[in-house]
Amino acid sequence: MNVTKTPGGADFIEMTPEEYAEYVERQVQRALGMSSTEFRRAYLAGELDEANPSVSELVGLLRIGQNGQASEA
Amino acid sequence: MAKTGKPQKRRAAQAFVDHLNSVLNGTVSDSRLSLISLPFDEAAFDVARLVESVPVPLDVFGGPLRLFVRQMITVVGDHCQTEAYSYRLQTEETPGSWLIRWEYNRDPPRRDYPYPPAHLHVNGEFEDLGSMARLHLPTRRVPLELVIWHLIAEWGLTAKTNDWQAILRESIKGFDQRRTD
Repeated sequence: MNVTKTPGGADFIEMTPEEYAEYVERQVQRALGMSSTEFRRAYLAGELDEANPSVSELVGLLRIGQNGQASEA
Repeated sequence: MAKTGKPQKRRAAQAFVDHLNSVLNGTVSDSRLSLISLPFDEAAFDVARLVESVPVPLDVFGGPLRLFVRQMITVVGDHCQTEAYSYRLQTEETPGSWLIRWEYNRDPPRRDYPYPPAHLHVNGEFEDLGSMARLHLPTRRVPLELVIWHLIAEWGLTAKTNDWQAILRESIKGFDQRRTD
């Protein structure tokens, strides 16, 4: 992981694909106790509780449905 | 759509997060959002406050409340397009302590997604009908500035300056000029 600063002083974080995959997996595991693959499957199948605030956040993080990525039900 | 290189995309994303931080740090928080570059798409970035690589809420002035902010953005041409946001007012560090959530997904995350792209959740109950937490109350896309405004006006957050409304108003003007939908 490489951390530099933006001109305004914020952390600008660059990760390798492996580091980024770990970063994402950690968050999904921590929030819902499942893998990102299982999360994607369960979400698309409508099995997750939308009242859980982590669900919507992880949908954004995993870019489900964004930029033409698979949004099949 | 104008094509821009990786350095230009980074500059645009960095300017975006620096602007958000200037608004937050000028009004309700000394915490800073970080910018995370997505390794598989040079135009895509995650914006959140990270502590030891974990997204956490911002500390805010005026009480024990927390404000969680996360945006997924894509640089398109020379501007940043918000793909998704999650803003949460929480009583503690944990997501389960949420009171209000403002959420947005530019594109429907699944084909049968029936909810408005931008919506609001309230963690409360109707007296006779039970929980309202699952309701997706429709909104337009809400700028973070209006969330901050609401939190100062009605949730007891302390503004760092008496000029907070002017800071937020000026920034909202930029939001309206930059937005693409």
